[in-house]
Amino acid sequence: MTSTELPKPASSPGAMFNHRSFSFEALRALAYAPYGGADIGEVTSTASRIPDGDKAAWYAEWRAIAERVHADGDRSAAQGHPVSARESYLRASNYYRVCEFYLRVDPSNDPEVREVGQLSVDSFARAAELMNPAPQRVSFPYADTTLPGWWIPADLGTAHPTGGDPDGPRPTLLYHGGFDSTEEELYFSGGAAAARRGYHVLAFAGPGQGSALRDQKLLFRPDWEAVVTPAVDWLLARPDVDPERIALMGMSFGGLLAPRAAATEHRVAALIAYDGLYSFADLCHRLVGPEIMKLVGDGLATSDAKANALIEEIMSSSTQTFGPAFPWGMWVLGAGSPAAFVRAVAPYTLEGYPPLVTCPTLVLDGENDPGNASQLYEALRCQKTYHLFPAAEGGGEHCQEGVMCRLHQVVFDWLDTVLATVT
Amino acid sequence: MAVAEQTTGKTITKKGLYFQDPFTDLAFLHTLALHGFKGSEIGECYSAAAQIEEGDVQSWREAWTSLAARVELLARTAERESHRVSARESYLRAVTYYRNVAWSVPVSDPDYRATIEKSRSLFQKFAALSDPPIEIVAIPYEGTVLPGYFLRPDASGDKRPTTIVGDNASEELYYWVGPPALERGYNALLVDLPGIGLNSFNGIAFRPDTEVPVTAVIDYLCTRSDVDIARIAVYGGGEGGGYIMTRAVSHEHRIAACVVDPLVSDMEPIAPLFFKYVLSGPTDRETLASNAGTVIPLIWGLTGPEAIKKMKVDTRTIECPTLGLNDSHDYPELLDQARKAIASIGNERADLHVFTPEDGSNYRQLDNFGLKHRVMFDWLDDVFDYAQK
Repeated sequence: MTSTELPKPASSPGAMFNHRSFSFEALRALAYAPYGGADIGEVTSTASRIPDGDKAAWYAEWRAIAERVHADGDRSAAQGHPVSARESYLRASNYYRVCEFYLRVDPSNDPEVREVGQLSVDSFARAAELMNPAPQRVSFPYADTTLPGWWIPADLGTAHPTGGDPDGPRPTLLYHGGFDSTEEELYFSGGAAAARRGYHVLAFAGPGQGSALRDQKLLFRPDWEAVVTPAVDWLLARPDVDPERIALMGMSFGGLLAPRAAATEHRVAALIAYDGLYSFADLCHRLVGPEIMKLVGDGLATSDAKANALIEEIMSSSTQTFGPAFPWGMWVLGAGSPAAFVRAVAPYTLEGYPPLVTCPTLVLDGENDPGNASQLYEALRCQKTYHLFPAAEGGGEHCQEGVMCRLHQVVFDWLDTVLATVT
Repeated sequence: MAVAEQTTGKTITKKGLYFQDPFTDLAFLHTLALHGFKGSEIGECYSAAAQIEEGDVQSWREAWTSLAARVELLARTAERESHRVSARESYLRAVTYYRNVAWSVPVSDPDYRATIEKSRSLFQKFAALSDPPIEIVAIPYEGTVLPGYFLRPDASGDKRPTTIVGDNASEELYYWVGPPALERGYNALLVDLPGIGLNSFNGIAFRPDTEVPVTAVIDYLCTRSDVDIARIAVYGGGEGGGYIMTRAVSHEHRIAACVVDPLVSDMEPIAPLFFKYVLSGPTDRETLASNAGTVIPLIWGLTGPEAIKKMKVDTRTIECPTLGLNDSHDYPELLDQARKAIASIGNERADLHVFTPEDGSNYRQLDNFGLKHRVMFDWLDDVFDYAQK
């Protein structure tokens, strides 16, 4: 979620830091409490021990709370208290995700990145085993390998969301994240909400995300239909999936990737861009400014060196999300330098694709989100809905972190309605 | 956790969330804490907080009224359009936000009752939309009834352990035992005991011999086929709730386990300290604390020295397993009383759990509901030899 510059940190919900990236990531950690991902006291007390902008302390303190909560889970499990164990493991999974967030010095070779990433996956897996019905770790064929995900079945006893036979195939949410997502986070940011409403969910990591990135070292690709199409194939082979009612949702940077995929993957019956993003390239280029853009554009080694120095300087001094975006971006796009990253984002724009989307589409936007959601909405030619969450109602942040229940009301009430009209 | 002077990189220890006044901040925390049970949204809470002028009770009232009305409208719209989950979640948040409005109204103001009734009517909407629906019950008591809610984990009708809680308006009590009980396969009965909720307005006043109404509640549970009558537990929260349930279990031996948070066996030395430490605030003008000061006497019977003198328990007559919950920063008299009382109980499962500073540092673990629930229900699972996946 590095595309966020928080313009007014003091007014953002529960600003726990002046450092804007820290503030946003702490809010994001806390925002998952309604789905079991956090307890407010654990988050605020952990945040209170981290000096503003101190990444080593961020790592140490989140690791400490994650380990402590995980150990609580082990104790409850050993003593035969499965509910308490499950709840502890779920929170530990989220806290390990947060812990790992700023380990971005050579992340692809950093053993701690893999270790902590795996701890987040393992904690989630332990929680999942204790749920009923239990989410299942799955993988589906992709290129010459596979992609990982979680199959989250609809909650027991829920009505069919569009009024069909509750024992028959169900509408299914195909859900992926964005620039810095894990497939486990997707449980908290939409998966559990969908299951509660009677949808099945496949929450997965594409290349550049979650364990596909950390374990398989797969990097982002702009032609996202190459990722979504095999996922749809896999869903269509399942008898419990209603083939006419597969909805695709992409979170954060996924708000660009999912529309790109839906432009050509027409088996998708509905699309949710959460939040809509028209051009990641424009966003990055705007952030670095014309001087750096000119340098990276001329292809000279000396210009690159100058651009890298300028970017390094901004990165080290910036408390904005700008700072973390670069090490993340170099990792997930396989760019060897900041300048190479600026060049590598060029194909990440939807220019030309929105008119090809044929399914009903919901474009979400937050008042403080600097993305370009309305541009995506304007370019769509399908049945479309634009929903802006006002900051005054607490939903202004990128991806509506802080108002998950309200967000899910908007998303799933829309989806219930749209999928009910599919014939 | 509010913003300001954090740039120096110094470690912050205890800090308010948003408001300078400790009681106002506690009330705000008490709102945010329900987030984990879908009773509030962080973003909505902070958007309301931004409208509030510190120290101006009227601005508190207006901010939450406006938010409550907006969320109520979301709920009604979702219900009309048959989005059951979204409707019930929005109703539940509206309940919280109207409750916050009530906190800014003294009980002498007719709006107090109207606001509580509003919040209650919306909770009943939430109840009807829950799966399975939460049952609205009326428990026979001395020629009248005590209102409450009966929550079941599923519609099977199986006999299950049941937790009773009754020391605050029953809608509020939902968070203290409702969701964690259901998840663990327990029933929960939320009841307005005498004095609590709107009972004082309806002529059912608080009484110090709390075993009388609690016995009526147990009688009621014994008529239900879905209650395992050998496994009935009570929970009392806050100083008043701690007294109510400690006293009740010292007389009513059909109760099989008692969790008191905290244990209070003698209200006389505790009441003034409660007002001093918990309800502290300026006395020269209307505040949230001063308004709470008008409510507490009604619900917990703290009306005057003579009434308070009658609030005593002989803890040696407690027979059931008993768990006292305390925070390490509780005022020493409260901790001492709990320690002595626990030591006087004959049952071998008379335990005291003291939450440490690293667990959190707010009144009754308000910011750590999850931890409280884990401690309480893991203990209950043990004494009842009950655990279900």
